[in-house]
Amino acid sequence: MELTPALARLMQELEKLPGVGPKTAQRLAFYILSRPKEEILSLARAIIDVKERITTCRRCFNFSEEELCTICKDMSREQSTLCVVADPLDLMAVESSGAYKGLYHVLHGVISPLDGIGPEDLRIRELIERLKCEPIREVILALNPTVEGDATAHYIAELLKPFNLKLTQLAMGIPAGGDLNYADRMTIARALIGRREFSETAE
Amino acid sequence: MHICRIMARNFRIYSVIDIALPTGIIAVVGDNAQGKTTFVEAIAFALTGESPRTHDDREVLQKGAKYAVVKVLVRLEKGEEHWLEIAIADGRKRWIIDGKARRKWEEGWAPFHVVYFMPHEIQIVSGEPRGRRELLDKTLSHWNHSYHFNLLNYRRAISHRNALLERINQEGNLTKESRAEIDNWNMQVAKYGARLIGMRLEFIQRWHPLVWEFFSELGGVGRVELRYVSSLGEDALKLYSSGKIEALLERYIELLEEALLRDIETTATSVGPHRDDLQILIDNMDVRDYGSSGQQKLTLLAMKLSLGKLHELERKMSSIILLDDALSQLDNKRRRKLFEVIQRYEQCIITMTSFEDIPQPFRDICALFQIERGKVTRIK
Repeated sequence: MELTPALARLMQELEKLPGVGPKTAQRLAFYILSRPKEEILSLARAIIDVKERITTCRRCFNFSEEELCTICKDMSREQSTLCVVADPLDLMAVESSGAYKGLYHVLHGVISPLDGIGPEDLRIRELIERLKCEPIREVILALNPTVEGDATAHYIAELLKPFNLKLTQLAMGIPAGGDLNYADRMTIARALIGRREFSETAE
Repeated sequence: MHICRIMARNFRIYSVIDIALPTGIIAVVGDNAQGKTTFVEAIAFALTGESPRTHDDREVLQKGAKYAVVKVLVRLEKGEEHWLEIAIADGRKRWIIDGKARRKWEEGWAPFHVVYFMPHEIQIVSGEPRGRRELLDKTLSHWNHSYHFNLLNYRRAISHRNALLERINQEGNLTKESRAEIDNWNMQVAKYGARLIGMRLEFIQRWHPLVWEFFSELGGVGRVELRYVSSLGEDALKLYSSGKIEALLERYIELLEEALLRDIETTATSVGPHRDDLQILIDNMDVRDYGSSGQQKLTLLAMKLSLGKLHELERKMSSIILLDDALSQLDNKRRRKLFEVIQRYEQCIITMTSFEDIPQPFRDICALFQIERGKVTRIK
């Protein structure tokens, strides 16, 4: 079948999405074409809205529809602890644990020269500026335990040395409800290194 | 432990193999290009999940075949049995143990160890340092999960540092900011690299006396020494062996800094375990330059067989011995010595071009298999 230019263009655009190949793009395009106009306009509007309304919080760089995100505006949160994460998804993960009541700082990536990402491409300078004017006493580096995550954590740790604050990183070990038998040896080794006093109340 | 049975289909020259194997020494006899090396390769492939001969798995497919399979039944000391299977289809390799797909040894199951010797491996002794580094990396990765993990991270950190060097090279000048980035990656590279060097040194210390022991037992003359030569220099190694890990890390970073301008020019990291070497000396002479081909072969045999011994001592696991064309270039006396050594194992498969190659007192105790144009048959 000969494609009309409009349909071909839609397919081209859809194919740019992650996880979408030519087949899926074709299926999605024909699906869109087959739906009632209102439904598709609503989808298009949602896409435009997300781009037009959502910016990043000017303080922590989490996604936000206002200048300050809901977490930064919430004065009941501990203002002295700052959790540094790589991206908003990681922030959501920490947040959904319900175990953290402090503030965040989103870097929007990790240092990775192979992908052409250096420290100046991340929100590191902004982090330093925040530490200069906010009453932060502890910074938690909650970055993934990968080569890039470790390198980013080390880079930030070097910059934070003059600030004289408590610097921590997430513990690594056996997942809750996990089975020692099924944990890989690296995890067990790390969990041993990071062991702590026995306590009934610790979660 | 021993292999009870091997089955294969479409594996290089072999359309079908299905044969039971006895314990003891199995002599596999055949003329050139009949499939002796391939027989050993097939077994090693099924047992380790990797071909000892090629990195391109599709190479083992018989011409025109869509898939290739090798299955090996292994019986452990206590009678426990396991099926190990390697299957190549659609350009993909699957390693299956007792019906369950595995990726690599380090993910768990390894109740035994395989020692194989193949003629092309002589370049480990006679060739470039790369072959010796590969032997160290492969052996240590199989034995020690943390080594494997550090090796992967190290390689990745080196790639990042090199990418950064490339960028600085193109920018044409070293800014303060780039300098800070390099410092950061120096730290990462040194962190993983120092651990690799440390684990290699400890391993060589335990391995080296056994290599000498086997070398002498095989009729080798002279004192064998394995010496780790690091691009970080002798003093760095001394720092490590005297327990000063922090000092080693500092020294490592110093050397990376010293090499920086050169590294920017070549856009490659010039110091670290990926540039180190394992020197093999006999009476203080480098075997690579001064060893005869017989001596080099004896050295490699000693290195390989001693790995089996070390594994047995440390992990309490016995080894399966696979020797391809190990007898050529050895005189009668040394052939006899080799048979005395392999006789101690529960099972050893050894290939040769002629039955006459088996030294006299051992001819009666060997099981005899013949290979002819891709067919294996038991003769005795």
